[in-house]
Amino acid sequence: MSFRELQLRHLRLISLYGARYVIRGGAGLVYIMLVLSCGLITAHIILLPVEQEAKEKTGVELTDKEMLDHLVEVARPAVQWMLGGKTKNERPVMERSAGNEKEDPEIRWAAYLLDEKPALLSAVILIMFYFTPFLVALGSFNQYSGDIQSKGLRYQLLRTSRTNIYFGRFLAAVFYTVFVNAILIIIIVLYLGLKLDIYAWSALARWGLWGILALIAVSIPYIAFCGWISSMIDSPFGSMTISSIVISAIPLFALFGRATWKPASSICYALPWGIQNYILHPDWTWVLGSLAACGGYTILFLLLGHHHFTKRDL
Amino acid sequence: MTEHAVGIHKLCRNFGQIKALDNVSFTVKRQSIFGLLGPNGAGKTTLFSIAANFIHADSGQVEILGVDVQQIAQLQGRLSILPQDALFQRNVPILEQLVFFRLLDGRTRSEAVGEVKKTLEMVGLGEFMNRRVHSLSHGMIKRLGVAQAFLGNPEVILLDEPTSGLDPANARQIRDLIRELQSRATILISSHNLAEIQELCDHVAILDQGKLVAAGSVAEITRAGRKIDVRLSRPLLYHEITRLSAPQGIRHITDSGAGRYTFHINVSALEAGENEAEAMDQIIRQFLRDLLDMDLIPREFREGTSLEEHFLKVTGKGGD
Amino acid sequence: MSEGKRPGGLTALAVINFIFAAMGLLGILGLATFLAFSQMEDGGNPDMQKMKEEFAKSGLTVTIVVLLLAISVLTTLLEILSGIGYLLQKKFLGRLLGNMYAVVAIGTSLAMAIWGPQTQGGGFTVGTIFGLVYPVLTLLLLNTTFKEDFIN
Repeated sequence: MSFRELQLRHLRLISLYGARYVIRGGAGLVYIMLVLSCGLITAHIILLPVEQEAKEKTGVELTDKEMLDHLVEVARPAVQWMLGGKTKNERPVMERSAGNEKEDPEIRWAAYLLDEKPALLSAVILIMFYFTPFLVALGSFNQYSGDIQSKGLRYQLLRTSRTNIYFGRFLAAVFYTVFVNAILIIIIVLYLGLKLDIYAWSALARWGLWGILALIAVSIPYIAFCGWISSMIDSPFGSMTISSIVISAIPLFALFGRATWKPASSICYALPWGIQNYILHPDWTWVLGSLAACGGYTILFLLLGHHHFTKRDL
Repeated sequence: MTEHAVGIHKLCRNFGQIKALDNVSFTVKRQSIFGLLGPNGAGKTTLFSIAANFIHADSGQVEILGVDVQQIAQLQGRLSILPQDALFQRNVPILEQLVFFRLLDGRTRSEAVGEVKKTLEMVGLGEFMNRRVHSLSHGMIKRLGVAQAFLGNPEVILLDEPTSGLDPANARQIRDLIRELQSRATILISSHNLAEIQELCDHVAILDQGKLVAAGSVAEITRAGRKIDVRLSRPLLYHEITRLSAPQGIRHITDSGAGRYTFHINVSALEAGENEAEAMDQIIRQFLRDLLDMDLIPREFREGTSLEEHFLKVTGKGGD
Repeated sequence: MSEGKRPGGLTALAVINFIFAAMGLLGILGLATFLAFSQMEDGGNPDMQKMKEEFAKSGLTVTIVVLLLAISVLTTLLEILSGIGYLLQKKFLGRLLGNMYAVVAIGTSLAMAIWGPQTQGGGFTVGTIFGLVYPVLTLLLLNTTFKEDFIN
């Protein structure tokens, strides 16, 4: 089996066929519900104070813009922390006392996301970055394992190559992910544009489009990773369990491990956890580097999965 | 162009400690119907799976139409298979699934739909083409599998138990279809229905515990038993048995009850330099004359060992 | 994609129905408790008096709470029954009641968006969209993808 057997026509057929029928299998329905639920609940939680509660609590009638500014200042430390910045107490004393806060890259980064771009949309996208790996595990775990278990692939194996099947189904998962994430961001962008009179449509559209691309760029390596696991394990349940455990365990291990041994946090680079946030960085070199790293992870997992899929008994 | 459609050379495959295939070799002529027999666990499905490159052999080689199956891409559109236990997607209409397969074979959508509809009609599934697999019976699913194996114009078709689970009418229909295809394809069938294999196949191979224990034409194998089985209109009387045993060609008679008798042929009568077929004809001619003289009408008549008897003999499950 | 006789998507729809029904039951419990407390005499208890004042300020009347309770009971019941119908692939219990649930849920979300008290989750918010997603998906799937799967 080799990449010479890749045929564009077969890739197109297999990917479109897979994407079309994914919802009938159940996993697609669960995935779309989870993504939309996570995204919309996140947006609802972020937007609710702007729309309602804070007006009552302050007792002063504020415009939406003023309320937003207030919330942005409240949210800024949290956003900085999510971007991997240190809190005040974690930074060395000298740095604190020298008043170097403005030089802190995470502060500049948070300012870019909250001040220069639509803050509410940035917050939703950033939070979705954290949910996306888990959601992808629940949506893409069964690219191959179910059909390997049922031997259903055998009807295709004499009509197309294993390489075409592997990459075609990967593309089907990617197409579906694109579709679902696009729906989510479009709903939020339309809502922000129509309901809240805070951001210009052009800014929302541009940042919304970038958000869709960013979510896709983050999703693709995890889809490839889940595909690799799925190609190795005959059981869909086993594939889902292992994918979910590995994707969840790595950031947890990094988070708690660094408390005892600092280098333990490097384990987050085993998956794109360590670099994915940089897709939203203000500096284009970081953005391109992060995209390239996501591409590298994708290629690595695809090669591993493809190698295993072409060699194993089906 | 090679004379053989399929060549199996010293094929071996183990699953852990179990030898699924142990140095199996045979060939299959073009445009023949070849039967692969064996008890459960003999290695038939393993052999088919290796031939279709679903699984890999530990050693040995399989060639189909002169192509090593390791290069299976070269056989796209030329080889098809009915796998024994592969499941279709249960939630997709069967028409869509088969159309997808034809699209992969290179057809346009309209061509694919036309061919699939025709094939589904052929196997009696025309009115169910928009149903999902989960709403079909076992027999219908089996016919669907046969339909997908017949799609297009494959030159070699592997059928793993094509009639298992089918009622007699549908099984007959499938057998008729297989016979029709013989003129344009080489067909390998594995089955537990030995009467069916004996009816359909030109040549057979018998596997037992991964080993090839017999191979050859069906006629040769069944003639080897050298006997005549008859069912008569009434039981034989003592003097009638004596008269029928008297000719030189009859060795002895076995009474199976209910008018059934087996007349074992004297092999030496055949080996004395005579043409074997003519000698058998002579024995049978004399035998039938004697029966009719005694006003005995044979209701059933069969010459030679049945495939089932030979199968049981070579697999050690029965004697002569 | 190995499954039993029922499409996996229909099974997933049933499971999601049961999850939302469970959440609905909790909501019913909350509303019922709220209603009960609002009807109780405060008996001079300052905490009770404060609670009654909050209730009065909230914009919710007894009528609205009773209406919300009734709708919650209806949608929860429809979710449970249609979920069972999906599993059994029944035309009436599954497809018809499932469509009814979707219509009632969409209607309720829109009604809350238009007439609901702003302080109690009314008005058109992202929450409204979230409340519409599942019923709209249900309506779409029951009448297209899974239309042929209700065979009993």
